[in-house]
Order: sequence, then C-alpha cells, then structure tokens
Amino acid sequence: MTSTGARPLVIDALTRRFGTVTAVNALSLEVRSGEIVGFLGANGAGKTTTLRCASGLLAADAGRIEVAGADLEREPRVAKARLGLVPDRPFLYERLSAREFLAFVAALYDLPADAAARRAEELLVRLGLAEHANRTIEGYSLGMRQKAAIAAALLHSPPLLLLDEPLNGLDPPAARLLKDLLREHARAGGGVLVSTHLLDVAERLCDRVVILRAGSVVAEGTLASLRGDRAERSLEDVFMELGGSGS
Amino acid sequence: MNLAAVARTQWLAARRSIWSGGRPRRGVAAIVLSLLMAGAFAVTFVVLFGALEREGAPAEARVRVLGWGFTFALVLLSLGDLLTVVSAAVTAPDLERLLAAPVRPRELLLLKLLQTLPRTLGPVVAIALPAALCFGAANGGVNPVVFVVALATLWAVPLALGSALAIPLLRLAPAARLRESIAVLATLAFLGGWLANTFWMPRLLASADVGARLRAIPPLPAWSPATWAAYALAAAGERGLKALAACVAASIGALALAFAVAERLLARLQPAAAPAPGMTVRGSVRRAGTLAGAFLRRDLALFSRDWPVLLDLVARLLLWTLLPLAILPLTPMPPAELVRAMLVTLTLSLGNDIGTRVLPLERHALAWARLSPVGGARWVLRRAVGVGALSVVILFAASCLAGAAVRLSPAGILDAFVFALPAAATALGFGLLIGAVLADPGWRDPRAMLGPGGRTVSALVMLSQGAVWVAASHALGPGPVGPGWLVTLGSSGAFVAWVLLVITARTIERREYTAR
Repeated sequence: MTSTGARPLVIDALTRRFGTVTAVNALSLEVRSGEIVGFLGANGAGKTTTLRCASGLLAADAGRIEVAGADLEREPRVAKARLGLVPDRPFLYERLSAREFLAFVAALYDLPADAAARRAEELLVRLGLAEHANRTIEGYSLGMRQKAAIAAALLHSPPLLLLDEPLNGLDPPAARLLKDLLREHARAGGGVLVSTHLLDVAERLCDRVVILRAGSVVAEGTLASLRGDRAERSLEDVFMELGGSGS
Repeated sequence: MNLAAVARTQWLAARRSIWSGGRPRRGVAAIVLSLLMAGAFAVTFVVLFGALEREGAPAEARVRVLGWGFTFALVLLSLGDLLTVVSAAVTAPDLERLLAAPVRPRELLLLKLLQTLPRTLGPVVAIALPAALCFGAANGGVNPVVFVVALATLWAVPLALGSALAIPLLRLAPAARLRESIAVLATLAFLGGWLANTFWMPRLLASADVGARLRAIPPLPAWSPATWAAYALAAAGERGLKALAACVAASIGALALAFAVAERLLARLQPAAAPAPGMTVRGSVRRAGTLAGAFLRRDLALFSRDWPVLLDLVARLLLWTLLPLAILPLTPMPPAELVRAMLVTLTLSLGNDIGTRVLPLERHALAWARLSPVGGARWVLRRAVGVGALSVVILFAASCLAGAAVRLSPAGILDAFVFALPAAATALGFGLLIGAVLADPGWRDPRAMLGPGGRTVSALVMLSQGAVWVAASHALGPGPVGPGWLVTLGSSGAFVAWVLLVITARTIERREYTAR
C-alpha cells in the first residue's frame, strides 16, 4: 500500500441536496490509518450518498473531502487513485471475465503490468474466484459479483477503502474472508469506512462507529464510549436509541 | 384474482408511463413514433390505391395490395410479439412474484398480455390500421364490425401464437439468449422488408406503368390470417363471410392454444431473473501496455461477445450505405457524387448506430469514468479514438467497394473517402454526445440502448447533418471535390467534432451516480 502519512479520509462539513431534500447535512468525519470505521444509519439516513460523495461519484454541494492527503475537488485524479470503492451494486462489465475485468481496472489505475497481474491472481485465489475467473461475469451469482467488485477495489491497494453494504450476497465463509481482508488492510496502515445494517458485524469488526440520522452525525466513537456508563448495552440498543427510528 | 383491480393498476402504470407529474414521459415518444409511422404508411397506401383506381385495376389487385400490407404487419407482429412475450419474461421484475402468488396460470397470461398491449398494438396502429382505412376510403367504406374483427385478428393471432411458442421455448433455453436470438431474427426480417421496400417502391413510383406493375403483384398465401382479414374486408358475399369466419376461428383457436399452453407450462417456468450461464473465455489477467490498448482490448471483447449488437450493426451499416441506390431512379447522380452520397449515408449509420452506442454499451460500469483516476475527458477521448479508427477502416473499405462498383479512378475513390472523413467525424461526435446524454444504462435490447426519445433525436440529428453533407456534395458538382475544398470541409468537420467531444467529456465528467 502506498503510504502518504496523511489520514485516509477527512470529510469536513459535507452537504449534498437532491432538489429540496438534503440527503447529507454538514457532515464531518474522519478515518484514521489502521482504523475500520462502521457507518450506521437507517434507510435513507445518507450513508450511500456520503460514500458516493467521498468516492467522487457525486459532487458535494458544500464541504471538503480529502483522501489520503489529496483534496478530491482540487486533485481528483490523485485522490481517486488513493481510494477503492465497493458500491452497493457493483459496476461490472457483464461480458468480460473476472480476469479481463481486473486487467482493465489495473490499466485504469495505471498499475505496473507484472505486479498487477500477480495481485489480481492473488485476490482471485483468496476470494475463491480463481476457478470461475475465465467465465463472463453475466453468469456470476450475487456473491461472486460482490467478490469481483471487492477484488477491483483492493487491486491497487489504496490507502482508503469505502464499502457500501459489502456483505450483501456473500456466504458466511466469504463474509469471514472479507472481514479478514479488511482487518489486514487496516493492519497495513489503510483506513476503511464500511456502511452496514448488520450491527453485530459492526460491533465485532469496527474500531469505531459513526451513526447517521437524517444526513447528520448523531453519534461517533468506540463502542465503549457509545455505551457510556451502561456497559450491558449492545450496539443495537445504542443504534435504536440514536439512529434507528428512520431518517 | 381481482381482475378489475389489476386492470386498474395496469392502466394507472400505463398512464403514468405517458404522462405523470404534469409532464410527458417516455411513453409519449413511442406513441408519436407509431403515429408518424402510421402517417407514412397512410401516404404509401393512398398512393398505391390511387394508382390502382386511376388504372382501373380489378378489385382483386386492391385486395392483394391490402393483403400484402397486412402480411407485412403480420410478419412484424409475429416476430415482435414473440420478442415482446419473451422480453416480458426476461425483463419483468414481477414475474417471480406473480408465479409465487395464488394466481392461476391463465390469469397470469392474461395479465401479461394486458401489460404488453401498448407494445403489441404498435404495428397494428402503424401499418394495418392505415392500410384498412385507405382501402375503405378508396372503396367507399367498409363494414365497421368486419373492420374491427379483421384488425383484432391481426393483433390476436400472432400474439397468442407467440405466447404459445414462447412459454415452452423459455423452459428450454435461457431467456436472455432466446431474446437475443429473436431480436436478431427481427433485425433480419426488418432488413428484408426494408430492402424490398426501398428498392421496390421508388422503382414502382418512377415506373411509367404503375398500374400494370401493381396488377402483377403475386397472389396472397391462402392460409394466412392476413389474407383472411383482407378478404373479410374486401370480398362480398360468401367469400367475405368465409374469410370473416376464418378470422374469428383463427383468433379463438390461437387464444385457446395460448391459454392451454399457459395452463400446462406457465407455472413451471423458470424465473427469468436467473442469470445467463455465462461463457468461458481465454482472458488474461495481464493488463494491456497502455490505457488505449486496454480500452481497445475491452471493446473488442464486449462487441465480439454481444453478437446481436454486432449483427445489428453490420445490417444497419449495409442498409444505410445502399440507401442512395434506392432513390437513384428518382434522382440520377453522376458516379462520383453517388459514391460521396453513399459514404455520407454510411457515416450517418456510423454516428447513429455505432457512435450512440459506444458509451451506453458500458451500462452502469461507465461509473468507472468518474470513479477511477482516468477522468471523463480521457475516457471519452479513448473511446472516440477507438471508434474513430474503426470507422475510418469501414469508411475506407466502403469507399473502395462503392468506387470500384461505379468504376471511379483510384484518385476519385481517395477524393470521395477524404470528403467523407469530416462527415464521419461530425456524425460520431453527435453520436457520442447523444449516447452520453440520452442512454438508457439499464437497456436489455441491444437495439434500444437509447430510449425511444433518444432514438428519435438521434435519427433527426443524423438526418439533418447528413442532409448538410449531401447538399455540400451536390453543390460541389459531379466531379472530384479537389484539395482546396477537402481541406476546408475537413477542418470545419474536425472543429465541430472537437466541440462535440468536449461537450461529451463534460457530460461524462459531471454525470452523477446515485444508488440504483
């Protein structure tokens, strides 16, 4: 992983509107190196919009986003080279095989050919896609598609990983593997921001959680700090209290 | 099933696809297109029946013209309805839910037939209705009951038989593959109809003896609902009654067959949402040396594996190139001008059929243009370079073939080729921009990567800018264009294409990707 020494993600006062609806309202958060941050919120709370703004797929109406030291607005190409996104529904080419798709993504990120080929093969093997990697993606199951998207996001070993409901469609071994990959990524100094509805996963996987409601952060911190003086409370209890009643 | 409630919901959905939120929706474009087609066919039939009347042709000749008009509609309906029924299974997100619901198979089929009504009525409204109305006008009117029965037969028989055939086929083959195969058949049928029409009609109208040529139209096939419908409308006495009875029997029989097949097989239909099997390919994980190489390799893979797209493209390129030959009897052209006209019409196809599909072919994966560090401008440039190179090769091959066919000298061929280059550049520029703005990233039919509105805009833009190039070619005279004008036209075309590419790049750079 290319280390820049900067924090993988800094979002400062991000606002994004769709017509009269404010999906994200002056949201600020950061992901530090070596940290996995859980991004929680009810449906429509603004998680996906935030992740899409942070990855450059949506423009911000106001605020600043910095990816591993690069300002997304001023240096978009540098910032985008430093992040990997696993969207809620992957962007795949149906008529390419997973191998061909990864080769294309490697070219988009201008990775050295030999190193990219080795990394792609390694990811295909680890994600259990190697034996299907010459089949076109149109024949893949939901889980296999998700694995192809994860491989594409990890291919260039970015300092920041953004994942939107990454466990969708994954079977238990694959879900476990993904969690291991995220931990490895964090141990290597990367940062991870992962949105999920699976509170038990967030509880066990994340170092810190950010709870969103109606486009604003309503709570942020380690599970212990969110529990406060009631140690018996689960993350679910905290979530229901703070963000669970919808947007 | 509460049929009334379901029909009300269908009606609501259909109404909203045409008009909702106080403004027109995509469905309006399909209606406008159908009405435009109906107008064009009405003019054709008015001309044909008028010519027969002037010539004092026997009644049988008029019935044959009407019958062949109905037959053309029936062929389009047969393929179109089969495609529509299969598409309803492929694309319908509600099929799984309906199969799981306590709905009887015949009710489910009825529901699907209701859903597909707007699409299956298209050729009836566009071709059969104007044919019957024009026939009625030329013959002092027709019986309104017979009129309705004849048109209903043309609608019901192909739709019912299409359903009866599609249901067992969908159990045998993956829906996506089946759909592609039928789409190709539909393209080939359209190609045949187009070639016959564009070569036959101008020659017929330019002929000194239109009536004699119309009287020589071959007899109608005896066992065709189109023939029965034509004779039911046209023939008097026992023959007309027999034809009417055949229409009614054919409609009832076909519908009964469709419902019987549905009752037996529909419940066991595999949900079409099941993924296509996918194909095994020999792709390398090693990336291409350059970004341009990576794009080229990917595009070759995407196009070569989407063979319905490829076949459709070849058919359309051929049709457009041959278009000037169709009007040659009406407006004779010297060889050099004819070749230039053929190349200009080819560039319309390059823009309309290739240029507009370059970006939509990527579907939602176009998001990589914004997600990756490549950026929209470089993305569009790479795609433009790739499609431009392909177009130059096609254009050069067409120049050589067309030039050799009319015995142009090598210098004349080169002159025509260089003249067509800026036309191709502007056509591709417009095509890329239209594809970027009006694409439907969720397309299922490779012939409909743009919505109906997008296709209309594309056709109008291409025809307008093509007309400019044809007019320029005509103004430059019958001989070679010459270097001075070639440079002027080339630099103008390059400038327009560059402006269009810049706008396309900005469109792609600013496109936002919300959750699907």
